[in-house]
Amino acid sequence: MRIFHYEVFMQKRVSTITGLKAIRVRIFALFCGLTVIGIFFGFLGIDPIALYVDIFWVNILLFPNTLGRFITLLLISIGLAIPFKARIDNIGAEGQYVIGTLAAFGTSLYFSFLDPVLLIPLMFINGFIIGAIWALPVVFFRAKGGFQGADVVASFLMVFPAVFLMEYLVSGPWRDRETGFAYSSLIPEINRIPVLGDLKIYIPLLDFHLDFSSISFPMVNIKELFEGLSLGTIQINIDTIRWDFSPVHITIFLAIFLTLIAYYFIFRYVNGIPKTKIGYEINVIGKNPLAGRTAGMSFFKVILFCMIISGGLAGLAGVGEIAGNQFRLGTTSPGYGFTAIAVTYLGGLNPIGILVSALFFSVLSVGGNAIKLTKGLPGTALDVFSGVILFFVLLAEFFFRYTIKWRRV
Amino acid sequence: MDIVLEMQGVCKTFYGDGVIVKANDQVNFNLKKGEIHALLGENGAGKSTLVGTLFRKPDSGIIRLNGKEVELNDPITALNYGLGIARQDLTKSLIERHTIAENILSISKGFFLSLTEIENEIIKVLNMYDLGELDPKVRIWKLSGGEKQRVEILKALISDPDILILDEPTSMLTPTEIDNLFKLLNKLKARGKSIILISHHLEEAVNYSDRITILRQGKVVDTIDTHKAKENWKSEEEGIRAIANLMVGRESLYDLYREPLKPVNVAIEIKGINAKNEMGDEVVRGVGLKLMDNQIVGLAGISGNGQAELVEAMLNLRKADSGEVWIRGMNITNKSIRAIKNLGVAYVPEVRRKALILDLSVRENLLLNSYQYSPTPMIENDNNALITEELIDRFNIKTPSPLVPVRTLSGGNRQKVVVAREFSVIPPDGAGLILIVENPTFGLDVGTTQFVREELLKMRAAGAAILLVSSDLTEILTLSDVISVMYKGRIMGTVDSEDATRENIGLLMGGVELEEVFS
Repeated sequence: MRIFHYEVFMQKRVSTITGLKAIRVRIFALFCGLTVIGIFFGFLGIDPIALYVDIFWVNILLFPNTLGRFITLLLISIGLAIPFKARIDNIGAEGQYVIGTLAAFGTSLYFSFLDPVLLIPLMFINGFIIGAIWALPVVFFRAKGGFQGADVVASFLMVFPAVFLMEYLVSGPWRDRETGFAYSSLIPEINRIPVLGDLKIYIPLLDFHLDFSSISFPMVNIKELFEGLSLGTIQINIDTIRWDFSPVHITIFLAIFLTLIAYYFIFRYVNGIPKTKIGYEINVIGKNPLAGRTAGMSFFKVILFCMIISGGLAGLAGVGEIAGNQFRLGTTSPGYGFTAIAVTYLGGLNPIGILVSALFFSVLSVGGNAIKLTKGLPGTALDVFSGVILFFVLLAEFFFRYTIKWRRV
Repeated sequence: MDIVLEMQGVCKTFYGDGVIVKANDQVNFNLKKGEIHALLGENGAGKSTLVGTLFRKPDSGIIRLNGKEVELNDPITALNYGLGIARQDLTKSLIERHTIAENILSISKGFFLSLTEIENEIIKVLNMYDLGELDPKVRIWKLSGGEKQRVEILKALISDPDILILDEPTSMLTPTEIDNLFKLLNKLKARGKSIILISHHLEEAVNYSDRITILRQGKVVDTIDTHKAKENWKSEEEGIRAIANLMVGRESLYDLYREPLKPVNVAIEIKGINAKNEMGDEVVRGVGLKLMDNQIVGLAGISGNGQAELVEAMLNLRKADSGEVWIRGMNITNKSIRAIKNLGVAYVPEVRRKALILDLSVRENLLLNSYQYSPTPMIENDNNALITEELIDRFNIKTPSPLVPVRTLSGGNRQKVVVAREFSVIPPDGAGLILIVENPTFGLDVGTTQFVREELLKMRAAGAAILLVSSDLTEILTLSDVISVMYKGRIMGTVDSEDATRENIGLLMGGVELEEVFS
């Protein structure tokens, strides 16, 4: 490409950037993303610095909510990292998540005769199985259809049937007749996933000598915020500020356990070799499927494994969210499945990185939500966060392989 | 004589696959009016790149046509300046699904496309240059390799260029066709056209060229006036040897000793295999082969005569239409590639991309077979790490660490990684290894070539049954016990290495029947 007297061109790097340097580049990309988002909000008449400061404080106050969001994002993202590593682009985690929420609600509805000790595990099992089934078309179209990109198309298109099914069920058979809105009934309290809410944890800094009416937040009126939030499911007592861990259900232990399992068996290198055969095969198929095939690996089996895990974990996330946090279905899909794509890439397709980036996106999401509630920002303003950051993180992936050079002509 | 083309200080650098390649480094080259100028060099010496810069400008350097400096940014500009080229890689240069006429649109004039006009023009030019029969309405994929090459030459000639560039024009032509081509070139020369000829066949250069420029590793080694040099050479062979030494720049291969061994057991037998290529053409026709332990069977043939498809069909990487493959008395037809490889079959493919994962480490690449030897879903990390250390040692792979990506290694060391991995496959129950190697030394430097060939002979002595597919006749002749020649998907004949000479194998490769060769 020619710009005035300079010729600008892409050049492949001699060696791809990896390791610590890659992390630095990702963090830099993140800051670029946050800057651009700041500019967007600046156009909306919002001071970006104040925005980020508020997001920080809101998250300190609402740390349990952040953790609640973290569970969902972590489960979906860990599931995504595995197919992404095999270069199978499962961008339809949203659909697998939604179908997981349906599985949870359906299980609680139709198996209500079961003891909760059996019912709750059954919810998770059903969520996993149905989520995985929802991901299967990707396997067949990608492995047997023989055209690249089938994974992207098939996984994305499977989002819509899931959402439509949810809309149908919630506005039809599962509708709660007592509310005016299209909501399902609540999952009976006994069938909900236990939460950490009973552990009232004391916050050393916040309730020491802070009078909340006197703290001035640039944007958020704390009283207003809390009143706004108390309309929902979260109850916070302003006078005795304690973290209330009711949004954090015990799925968090499952999520962290699965993260470690995935790390230990699939992503971890020992002596420069992955720990398991499937981990190695995912590596090879991801980097060069032709060599994998020539060596005798089954492309189909690897994709099947990846997508079952991916869809299953998204399904589990749906179960956790509906039976541990929301307790009822609505008609809109929340978009966690799409945010998780950004989480996964920011985490560098590595479970440990994803732990950090999932927390980061939870912070943005909870902070953004609170500000949305109090400031009346449009509902889609939040999507700007994940969209812009994903863009910059993917741009960083490009710069790991290429550089831009210019020369005078 | 006037100089029609002058190239000064031409540089071209390629980035990619982890290495920076200076394909052309300050190359000076000139072409006189009415001469045939041969451009010689090893694979990767930068010959094709140099003529390529005439169609896609170089990184730096000056190109003068008839003394005027020109900027040749794209092939169309070059065409308008009177340059015509027949390229080497026909898969990139011809569109397989189009007809011959559709491939030659360079002469179309005006806004609308008239295919009939082009077809008429093609037939006229074919007759004028005596290039033989070609139907302009035939689609490219239906043509044989030689016919495709003639289309490519026709494509270069049809615009009646002043400077004609032929990049390996004879690799797939029969001896008669080659003779005709050089007669044609001499006629063109007499009409004052200038010709650049790139060839692997040194005798073509020595016999037909006026001057020879030799490239080595992107630099010009020497430019020789052929007519003057011929007076000094006692024979054609001496000339060829002198040029070969300039091309290689070091001593060529020393002779390998093949100890006499008596093969006993049949390791692998294939019976009547038929297979099609991607275009649906039957390119393997009823091929049968037998490999014994302690034996190297050389499968000779000009590349593109169905050897690649035959090997793929054997390994069930490609579906065979009919035929059977037996390994040690067991029918393995249509078994999965993994099942076949687990019987002790190792495979070194010609296409390196099928054998190496450039972004993974040397160690991970060396594990591609052995990772699955453990009985559990886990990999035995420590054990495998040790195995790879030993392989790096034994095959002398030069790498800073086993953990660097293969991408950072040189071409020779990359091939050593493949060779190390495949040659160390352990067959079950102490049976001999079955080794299928395709052009194992293609594009390698002399040292590595020698190394790979020695290893092949060592494997043979250790009891392996080896199928050596190669288009390099020297390689076939020095290594094989038995030589089978493939032509247009058929085995033309199988010759014992004692009866095989360069001449008779060459004739078989050109499609002459066995009875005629040995009558």
